[in-house]
Amino acid sequence: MSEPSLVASQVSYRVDQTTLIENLDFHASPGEVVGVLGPNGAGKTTLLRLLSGELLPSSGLVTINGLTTASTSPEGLSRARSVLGHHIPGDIPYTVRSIVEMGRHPHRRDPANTKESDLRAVDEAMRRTGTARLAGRILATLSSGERLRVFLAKVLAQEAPIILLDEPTATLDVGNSERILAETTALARSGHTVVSVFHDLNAAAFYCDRVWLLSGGRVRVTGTVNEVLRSDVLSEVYRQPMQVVDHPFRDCPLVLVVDPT
Amino acid sequence: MTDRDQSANSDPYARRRRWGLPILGVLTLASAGLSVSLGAVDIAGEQVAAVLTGVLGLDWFGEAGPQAVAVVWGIRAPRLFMGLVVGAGLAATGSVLQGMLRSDLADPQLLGIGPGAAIGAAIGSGTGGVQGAIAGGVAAGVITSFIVRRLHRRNSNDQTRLILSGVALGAVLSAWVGFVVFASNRSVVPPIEFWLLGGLAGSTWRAVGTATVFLFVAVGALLIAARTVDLLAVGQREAWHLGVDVDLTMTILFIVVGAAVGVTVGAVGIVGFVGLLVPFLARRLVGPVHRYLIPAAMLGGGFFLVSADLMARLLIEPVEIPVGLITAAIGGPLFLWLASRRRNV
Repeated sequence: MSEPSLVASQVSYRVDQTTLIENLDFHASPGEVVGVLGPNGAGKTTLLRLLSGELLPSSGLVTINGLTTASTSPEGLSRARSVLGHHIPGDIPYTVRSIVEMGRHPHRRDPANTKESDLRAVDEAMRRTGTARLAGRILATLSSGERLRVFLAKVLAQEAPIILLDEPTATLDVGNSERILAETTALARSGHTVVSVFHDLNAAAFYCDRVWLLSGGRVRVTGTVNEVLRSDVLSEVYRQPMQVVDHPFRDCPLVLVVDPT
Repeated sequence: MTDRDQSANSDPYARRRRWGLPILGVLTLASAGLSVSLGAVDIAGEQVAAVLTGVLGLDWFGEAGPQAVAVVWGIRAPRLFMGLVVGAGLAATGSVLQGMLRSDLADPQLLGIGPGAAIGAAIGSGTGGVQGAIAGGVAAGVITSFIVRRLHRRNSNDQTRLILSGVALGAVLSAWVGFVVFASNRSVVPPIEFWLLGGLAGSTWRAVGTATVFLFVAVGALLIAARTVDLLAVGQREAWHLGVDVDLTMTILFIVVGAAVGVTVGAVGIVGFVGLLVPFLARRLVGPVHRYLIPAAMLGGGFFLVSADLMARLLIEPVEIPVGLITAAIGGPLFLWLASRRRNV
């Protein structure tokens, strides 16, 4: 595996007296899809915001492609990583294409960047996310799933080597969800580092190379999908009986929720 | 590709921009023509044309009479140009405020920036005439804008609270404008109704020149920042992820807006609702992309203020109504409608 491009070392994050993340170590490398799992309140979104540089750790260090988030400008960070946030704005009067074009903003001062490369990146991002046919639509007129795909297209148009996704399939139907996750996996295989928060354990089981299971702001367990997605661990962390079996059609575990009685 | 796909692929604002901008230009020219022709003394169109071409050294419409020259070139033309420049400046600042604050109700006067600028302008006018008023307006506008920015930082997710804070701040500062005016030499400082309700009467070429230079710089800066304002209009977090130093950028934009509003207040007093109504309508005409919206709003702002000034002069002739009353009478109902329509002000 190549050198990690995204590293968090002994990171803690506190708000007032409340510790949201405690002494957490994390790393992700180019070519892999890394999943961040855990129940509500485990600290998944906080970790993603720390990794993106949006939040600065109370202690510890986060580095993106060797840049320390605490001492790197927003512009510098924007060329190193792109972020699909949990909340997708809805009341926006811009057209879909205008939104995706905004993804090119970090490259506006790059002398090597041309109008043609902007156009190519935007067209490619819209093709990959199936949003090309929506190009002239106003964002506010789209469904939540369509809006999510538009913002994912913006993230792809940014062409950053590290991609951070917070529940990218939360509002998508099964078909779109599979297509988007397959695209993000293809991006990872082409050399990107993809880190994604998941609530859907089975999606994580199939698409992730490694997963980090959080609980109470700490890493409960980390490793490959087979090492982490175990019946006893999941049942304890999610406080819900679960059984993990072999997926009958895919080469991955299948997580089943079991009746508590 | 089906017709439906084709229509979904084309930018719905592009067609409206193609006909909307020329129409705005024609409307502005028409209002300008009426503004220099109509008033207490009606000047025939030929005489107006003779004055304006005569200034350029052309003799196409014959020689203009001395009264026509005095009225058209000495009084109405500077008033017209002041209306165009100030209307454009207010509409540009309103467009940027509404974009970066993500609220149709963001208006430089409603946020309290205009009343704050008026304090400095009134003080400045006591020592330096119109030039002093503009300089004082810029200084106080920047300070007030900085205060509003601090209020916004505290309530960045609550636009309703920000607007209400701005209205309250404006009310307090308007009272201070009154204190300053009544404590000043009232033979030099314009009366309270000028500062609070605005007026284009008495505009001079010198004042037009000063206001134009200041506003050219300020609006130029806003136009340069147009793409960044687009990112802020999508959301502060989105803008930050795309490399915008949100805090610094918004502070700078507030300062530029404060300076521009200060110029307009120093030159013509507070004219409300131009920065609210015009960007709102311009956005529906040319779309939200600020590199098109700001120029369209500037054209619309010039047209609106010149037309409102014409109404102010002609409605109850020979009495001249403060132009701010006309803009409030038109813009106020829109404000009410917007306030009741939006869940989040």
